[in-house]
Amino acid sequence: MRRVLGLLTTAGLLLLALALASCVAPAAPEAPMAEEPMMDEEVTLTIGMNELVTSLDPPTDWAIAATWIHTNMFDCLVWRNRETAEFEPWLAESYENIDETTWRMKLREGVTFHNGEPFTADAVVWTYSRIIEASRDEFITYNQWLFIDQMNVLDDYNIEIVTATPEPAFLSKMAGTGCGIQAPEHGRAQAESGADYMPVGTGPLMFDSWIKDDSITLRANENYWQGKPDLDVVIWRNIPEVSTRVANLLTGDVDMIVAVPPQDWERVNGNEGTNVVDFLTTRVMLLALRVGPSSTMEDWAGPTADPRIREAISLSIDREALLGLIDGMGIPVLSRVTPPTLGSDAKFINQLGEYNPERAVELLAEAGYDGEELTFHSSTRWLAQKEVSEALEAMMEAVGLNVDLQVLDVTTFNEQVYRPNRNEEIYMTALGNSFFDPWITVLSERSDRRERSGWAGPNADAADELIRAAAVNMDPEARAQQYVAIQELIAEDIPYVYLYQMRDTIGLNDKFAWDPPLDGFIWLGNIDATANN
Amino acid sequence: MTTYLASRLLQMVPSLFLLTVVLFALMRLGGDPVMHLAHPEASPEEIAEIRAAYGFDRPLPEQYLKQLRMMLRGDFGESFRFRSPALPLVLEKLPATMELAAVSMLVALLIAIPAGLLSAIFQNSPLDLGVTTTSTLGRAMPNFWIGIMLILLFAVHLGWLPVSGRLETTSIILPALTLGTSVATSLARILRSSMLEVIRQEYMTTAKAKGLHRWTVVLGHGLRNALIPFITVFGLQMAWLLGGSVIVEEVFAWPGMGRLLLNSVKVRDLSVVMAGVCVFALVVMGTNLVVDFLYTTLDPRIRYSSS
Repeated sequence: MRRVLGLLTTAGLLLLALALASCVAPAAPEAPMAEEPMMDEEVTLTIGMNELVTSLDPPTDWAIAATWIHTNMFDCLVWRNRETAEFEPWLAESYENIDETTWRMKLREGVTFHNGEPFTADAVVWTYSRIIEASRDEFITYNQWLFIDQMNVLDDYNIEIVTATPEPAFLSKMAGTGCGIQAPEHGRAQAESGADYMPVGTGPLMFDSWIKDDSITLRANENYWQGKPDLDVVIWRNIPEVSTRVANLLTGDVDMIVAVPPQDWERVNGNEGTNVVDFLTTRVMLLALRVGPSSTMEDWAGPTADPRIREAISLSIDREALLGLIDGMGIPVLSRVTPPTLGSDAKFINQLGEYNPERAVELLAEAGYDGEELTFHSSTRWLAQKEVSEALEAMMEAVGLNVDLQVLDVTTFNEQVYRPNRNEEIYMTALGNSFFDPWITVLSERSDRRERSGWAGPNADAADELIRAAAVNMDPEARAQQYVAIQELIAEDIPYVYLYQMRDTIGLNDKFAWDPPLDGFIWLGNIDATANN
Repeated sequence: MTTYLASRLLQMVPSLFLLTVVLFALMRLGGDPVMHLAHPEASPEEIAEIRAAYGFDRPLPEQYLKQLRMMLRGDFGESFRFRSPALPLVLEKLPATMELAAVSMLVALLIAIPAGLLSAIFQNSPLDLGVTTTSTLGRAMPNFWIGIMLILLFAVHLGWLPVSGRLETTSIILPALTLGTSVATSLARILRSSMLEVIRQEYMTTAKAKGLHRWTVVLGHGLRNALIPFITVFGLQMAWLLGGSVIVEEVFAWPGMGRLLLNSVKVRDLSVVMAGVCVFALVVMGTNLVVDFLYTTLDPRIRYSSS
């Protein structure tokens, strides 16, 4: 018996030793613990995210979480005010468009990077030349920066950026994904060393530590050119499971969480010290209908090639019912160009559109529709997307369409349908516009990029001309009209059925006073973090 | 014994080789990593350019052989998600996962051994019924559900324990309970049945007839003999436990290998998946080897030879 007990004790001790060894084994730096005495005096904001950054080099990672984190660490030359949607001088103190392709920028003096390097025109040249001189596989935002033709340094604080063609979206792109200015001397040394590239910016928060896939800790930049932010430490934690994220907010382990599902609003609002705030995103949930074959679907000849079938699909959809399924987390729209984006038009926004199943039945009869199958690809990426897809399938079948709904997991949908342009008659997704400029919302309908829609015909040709003309039109008013005209052509030919502009939510601890801006963008340079403390 | 150990270690080589072949085939035939590397609006030409840059345009056997050559040098390649070497990424997460696995196993043993023993000794009693019913229920309940229920009870309602992460010493309790209890259900059932078999053996009657105390008979003569099948299942449960850690780490935001693997599989980050699964496989194989040697301690009649 002693031998058995000894064996069990040894096994237990071995397990304990393994556990202890694991605890003391060298690991990546831990995020600071909330109860450390040093931290007690500091204002720490912990944010529960549903994804985390995979790179600290802004042009290489453009996920929403990455963009938020990068923008807090790196300043851009231009800032898009997320209250007014206007562009404002930022690291560029002023800028002017001296001719159709030349932008002269006066840079802000006295700004230093987190490592103490001074910010000068050299930093601008380093930041953007390393993207445009690289290859496509190195930077996911590579295409976005190809508009830069030359950068002429006039002196340390004056630079001219020459674009390859007139670029009306210049300011939007200069404030867009991957725009963060990086310290040149540090960057060149890093690039030469061959180590993991970890650039340094001038933003309100500085890098402290990073446990990949788990958390990233940033500290306030004491020397920030707009003044030190109203907090000391920000910890971004990756808590992918939504119920865990909500529990963390309820217990006070985190102060802010993204994407609170409707079923938890009451619990969060009923809990002392926490509340849910909602905001309108730029994302629009839509159905994309294949109109014709393309190089990736050369033999496609489905029912949605007939405009009457596409119109019948559009008329069969009751947007009000769909909004009920997502607990009102959206507004009905008939376009992807949403306010305050240039070219957004009231006739497409907050409109339920025509719901007329009777007319849809007539159109199917006129088209001689005989029950041919329509493959409908969807995924589970967005709020209640599966339920909304099933409702859409039922609505379409109610008018006599034969719909084969395939709800895929997000990875499969992206790999097999969306990214390789292998979509058949219908696919459903939500698309946003972080640039607040319409160029990206219609880019896929330019004639050389219609792999997903196969859109053709007189209206498609007219849209193509307008898309190309608007892309180089430096007159904002005329450009806005061109984008309205493109939306009208799309509404007429129906390669897309737009459903609703999505709302999103943030759960917040009351001790931090923060109103989510236009698109829920988390920038903490001006957070009133101590207002309610 | 040394020869046997060497032969067992050598047997791991073809197993690992087969594992890498199957894994590579599943990862590369099941999805296309380029679809995660390219901009969503990338044209077919741009996609082709990226495919060529990463070498994904080469024939699959050629890609596999390249990967294999690298792995033989201890280099699993670079994670395209993090743009850094894959193996250090995995090893950085290993301590957290092993810590969770070890504490979960300890929890499982602390629950399973008394439960299995008492259930066998008091067969058909209300206690036995309770243990078997709880085991069946525990086995039927998915890990993620148990995890969320534990969070709601102990972290949200009672406020005794942290919800998630690995920031405090007590952070491990809930994930370890979630994993440990599910392993305990299997272990308790196997210990119960092997104890029931042992209790009926003649040497048990002899021990009782000699006037030994009931618990001396049960623990000294019974448990030792019942432990052999128990230890076998214990070893096998290590694989199940590491697999289960993928879900539990996701629910509890535990920064271990399971989470890293899950996120890597989602974007076909082959180098990380390959490194992670190979490390998992080595841990499981190592555990089974240890179990084999435990047999000799439990039953001195067992001897290993290379033949």
